[in-house]
Formats: sequence, C-alpha cells, structure tokens
Amino acid sequence: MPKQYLTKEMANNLYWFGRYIKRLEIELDAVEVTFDKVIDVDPDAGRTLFARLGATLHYKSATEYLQEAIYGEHPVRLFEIVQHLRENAIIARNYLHADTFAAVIQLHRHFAKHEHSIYDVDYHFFDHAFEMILQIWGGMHQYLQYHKSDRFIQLGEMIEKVDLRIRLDEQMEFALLLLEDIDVVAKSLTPDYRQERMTGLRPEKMLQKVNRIIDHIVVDKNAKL
Amino acid sequence: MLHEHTKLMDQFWKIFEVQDKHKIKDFNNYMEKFAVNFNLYKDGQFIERPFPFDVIPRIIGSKAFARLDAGVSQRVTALNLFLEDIYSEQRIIKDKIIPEHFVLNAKGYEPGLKGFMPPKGIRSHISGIDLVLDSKTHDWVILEDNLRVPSGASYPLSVRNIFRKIYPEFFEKMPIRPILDYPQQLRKTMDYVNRGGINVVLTPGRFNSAYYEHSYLAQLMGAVLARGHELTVIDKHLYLKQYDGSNVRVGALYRRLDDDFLDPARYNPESLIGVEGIMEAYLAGNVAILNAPGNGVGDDKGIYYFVPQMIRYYLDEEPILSNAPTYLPVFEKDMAYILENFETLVIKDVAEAGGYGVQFGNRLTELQREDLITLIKKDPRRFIAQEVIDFYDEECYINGQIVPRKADFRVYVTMTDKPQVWPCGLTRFAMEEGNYLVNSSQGGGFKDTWVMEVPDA
Repeated sequence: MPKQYLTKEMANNLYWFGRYIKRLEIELDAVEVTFDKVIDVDPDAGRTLFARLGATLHYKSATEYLQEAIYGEHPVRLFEIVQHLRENAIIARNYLHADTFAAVIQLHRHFAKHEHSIYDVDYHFFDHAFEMILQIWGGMHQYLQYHKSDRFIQLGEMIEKVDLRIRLDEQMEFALLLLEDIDVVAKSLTPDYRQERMTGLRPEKMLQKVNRIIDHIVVDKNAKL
Repeated sequence: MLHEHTKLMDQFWKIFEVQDKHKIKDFNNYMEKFAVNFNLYKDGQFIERPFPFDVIPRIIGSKAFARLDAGVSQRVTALNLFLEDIYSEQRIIKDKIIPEHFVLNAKGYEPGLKGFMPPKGIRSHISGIDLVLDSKTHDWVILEDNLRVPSGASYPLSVRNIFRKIYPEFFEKMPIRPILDYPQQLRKTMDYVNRGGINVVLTPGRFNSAYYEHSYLAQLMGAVLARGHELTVIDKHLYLKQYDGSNVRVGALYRRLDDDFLDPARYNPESLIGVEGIMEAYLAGNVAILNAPGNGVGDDKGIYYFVPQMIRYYLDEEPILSNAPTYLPVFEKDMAYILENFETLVIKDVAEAGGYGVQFGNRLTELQREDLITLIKKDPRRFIAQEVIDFYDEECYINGQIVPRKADFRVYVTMTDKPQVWPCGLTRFAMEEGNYLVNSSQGGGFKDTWVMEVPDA
C-alpha cells in the first residue's frame, strides 16, 4: 500500500467529516424518536432534546417540530450539519470512496430540496436520509482501517459518539468504553499519543478532554517547537 | 479525411439510432451525483454547477488525428525551445525573427528568470492547444496556445468511464482509442522532472472553478493535493507540512494557479494562495514547477503570431498546422488592414483569457467601435485582430433534438524526452446556436472526443 501523506488541514477536515456524519445520524434518530413523543405523549420532548444540544426550539405541533429541528433558525439545525458535511466531502473528495462522496452529495440535495416545504418533512424524509447515511458508511467500510485518512474519519465518528452520548444521555460508562477504542485509533495516527485520565470526571470536564484529543494528534509544528 | 470522418459518423449514428435515449439523463445524474463541476463566478456570486455535457462525441479518425498529433507536437516542441531561448541567449531576437520589444513587453515575460535552466530544460510540461476545424479548408486551425495552466482534461476523462457503462455498444463495436491512462501520463511527466520528493498538485482551493479537476487528477495520479499554506520552504527546499508536525520534501509541483499568485515574496505580495519562497527553491533547482513560471510569454496572444516562424527557426520545418490569419496593430501595415476591415475581424485583448476580452467587429455599436479603435491606437501591443474562422459545427443532442453548435477542441500534450499527445481532448461547444464563444467560463458545455482507428484502405 503506498504511503499516504496528510496535511493538518486535511486531517482536520476528515476528522470533522466523521464527526458530522455521526452527529447527523444520532441527531436525526433522536429527532425521529422525539417526534413520536411530541405527537401525543410529551409535547415538550423536542424542546428538551434541543435544550441539551444547546438550542431553544419553538413549535406548536409535531410537524412544526420536525421543520424547526431540521431547518429552524438556530445553531444546531440539522440542515447545517449536512451543509458542513458536504463542504468537508468536497474538500476531501480525493480521500473518499466515490460512493461515499456521491451519497453525501445526494443527502445534501435531499435536505436542500425540502428546505422550503413544511409538508415534505415526514417519515419518508427520514427513511430516505437514513438510507443515504447507510450508503455513506457502506462506501467507507469498503476500505476503512487501511489508510490514515480513514482513521481520521473513524476518530471523528468515535469522538462524536462519545460527545453526544454524554450530552444527551450522560452515558459515562459507555463513553469510557469507547475511549479505549479511541486510544487505539489515536495511537495508530500518532504513536506517542497518551490519553489523559478520564475516569471519575464530571461530564463537562470529560467533554472538554474528549474534544481536545484531536489537538494531541494534529499539531501545529510551530506550537510543537 | 472528410470521407473518413463521414464514414465514422455513419457508424456512430447507426448505433445511436437504436440506443435507449432515456439513458442520456444518466449522464447528468452522474455529473450531479459526483459533483463533476465547473464552477462559475457570476455577478460576484459563486455558482456551483455541473459542466453541461452533450452525448454526441466529436469523432476523429486515426489518420486525421495523426496529423493533429504531429502538428501540435511540433508546435509544443518549438514553443519549449522558444521559452528556453528567451530565457537564455535570445537568439530568436538577435536574428530578428521576433521584435525584441514584443517579447520584453509581453505581460508573461519574467526577466528575473533569464539564465535559469529548469529541470531537464522543460518549461511547458502540460500544454493545451486550442483548435477549430475550418469549414472552408476542412483543416484544423490553431487559435491559441495554453502553456501556463490549461484545464479541462478531467471532464472527458471522467465522463468516458460512465459513457462505457451507459452505452457499451459503441465501445464494443467501434475501435475507439482508450484514454484512461492520462493520469499515468501526467505522473510520468512529473516523475521525469522530479528533483527528489513527492509529487504535489497545488490548488487555489475549494472555490476555484476547476477544484473538481485538481482533486480528481491528484487522486488518479497519486499526488498529494495541497493549498499554498500547507506547503513551506525551508533552506530553499519545498516541503509538505504533515498533520503530525513532520515535513516531507516535494520534488515536483503541478501548480494550478497563475504566476502572479505563486509566490507572494516575488510576485503579488497580497497573494494568499501561493507559497512564500517557492521561487527561491525553484531557482536553487530543488523543485520542479509544472508548468514553469514565466511561460506566459510563450502563450501571449501577440507571440502566437510568431509561432510558425519559431517552428521554421528552431526546427527547420514547415508548420504542419496553421494559425488563424492574425494581424498585429503594432505593425503599420496590419493596423491599416485592421481599420479597413474592422467589421470582418475579431479583436482580442492579449491580457485576457477564458473568452473575456474578445470582441467581434460586426457586433459593436458605432460608439463601442470608436472606443475600441481609440484603445487599439493608444496601446497597439495589447491587441491582436484575427479573421473570423467559420469553423464547423458539431452536432449536439439538446432537448431531444439534434442541433448544430460551434465547437472548438483543446488537445493536451505532455512533455518528457518527447511530446506525447493524449488521444482525446476537450471539445467545448457553445450553448446557443451561432455563438462562437465556447469557453467553459462563458457557459459552454463539453463533449467526449473519440479517436477511432481507421484501417488502411
């Protein structure tokens, strides 16, 4: 296998590509589950979910909730994640499997097409989005683990999983388990990587440390000197 | 040759007739799905759009292509010799083949490079020669040489892959030359001049019109795609900065930006997309830059006039392919001709490219005409005038109908110890009937180009 050269910018880009896919997948799933509750179980379920994500959501019905979650004027709208994902994919396309890249482009088109229609965001919308997310993963798993570029995506995916699990459910034990896997991937990218101690930390502190892992791997040479 | 072409087209139409036309939309789906884009800036806005594609290929028989191959190879060889001469002894000036002021006043001439010999003496490693097929003479006419950053090869390259899958019958039944090894051809060109280190494609970034091409070609030729700030110069050597803080040496750089932006320390100090100090590394002989800085003097629209003379001078051969009849306002006789025949000529600003600065004499209002003449008289070196070549239309399949559109052809030539012509090229067509401006930046589309083997009679 030929040696792969990766710049700091590209490594960061791939890392965030992994984070955005995972973020989209988890949040889309959470929105779909909450949508069901908003219908007739807990009208505030959507507001609670987004409060944990850091946004205040306003809606009067379950349908409006979906619209707001995906396209609303707030910093964690799901469409924003898809836009970032597309940008990352375009910049890093020469490191991505063609099917992965194409699925991202299609996913973005799917979201963009429905942006101005309140009626179009329904379960079909979600089904289709999940299918394309599966295609993105599928394209990557065709050769995941072989190149450094794939491992940056994988690292991003794992960090995002830990981050969201802490934010949404405070699943600390699950997070600690995942951190062991993160350690393996991080070491494969930077052999002298040493993970900071995470056990017994409060969620906020742990979030901070988890999000700083990338800074130990992708370094600025001047900073290192 | 005309007979050969008609026979080949007949073969094409026979197969095309029985194909499922609904599948044509699959080409557009493919272009959208894989974002095969040529982006535009319009009214200050960045517009991402797929490069419009037409399914009917330009077909060239192998005998006709052999002539083209010989003609552009001859031209690129002469242009490389010209560049070498201009940056060394300047014999062609001393021997009064080209007026000195013409060379020294060319915008792309870089006096600071005089005396410098690039790796293996090659300056135009990847050239794009633009031609049209004259409907009067049935012969190819050269319109322009591109020796700096000729773009466009990736589009026919990527579409050929999908063409074979959508309509395999053409490729089963017609002896179409394969083209998919172009990235290897590019790689060979980079390796040939590499000064020790990896190959890198330097892109201005994601918002460049041809970012798709930069990324696609880098991937296929096994080079690293990098932006200016991802490279650094240390002790007159160029390095790629890696994510872990280490640097890896770059031996050859395929730059996809103009000289002006290449090195803020030497050229435009405001450039944010170049690499500071890269020219120092280049002049120390530690990195090859493809194409070489200073090549702008070779593809200057005014210098174009002299290329047939260059071929005679350096190669002692007659040019195989002709230029479009061209007049230089700096010559008194030519100026008189231009003023007399303004209506029938096309005027080009030598500093412009991409279809900008091209004005047809018969399409100007009286006021515009007067303004342009004033400009020409004030700065005659800035303009050239050419007879309008009535070039052949190519048939296009637009909205379910076969319609004629003006089309040009860019041939790509790579240079190692000898020139190598890619048996394909970029056929660009104008979207509107009768429009002569086919440039991608003017909204034109593209076709695949098939070079087909023709058995000896």
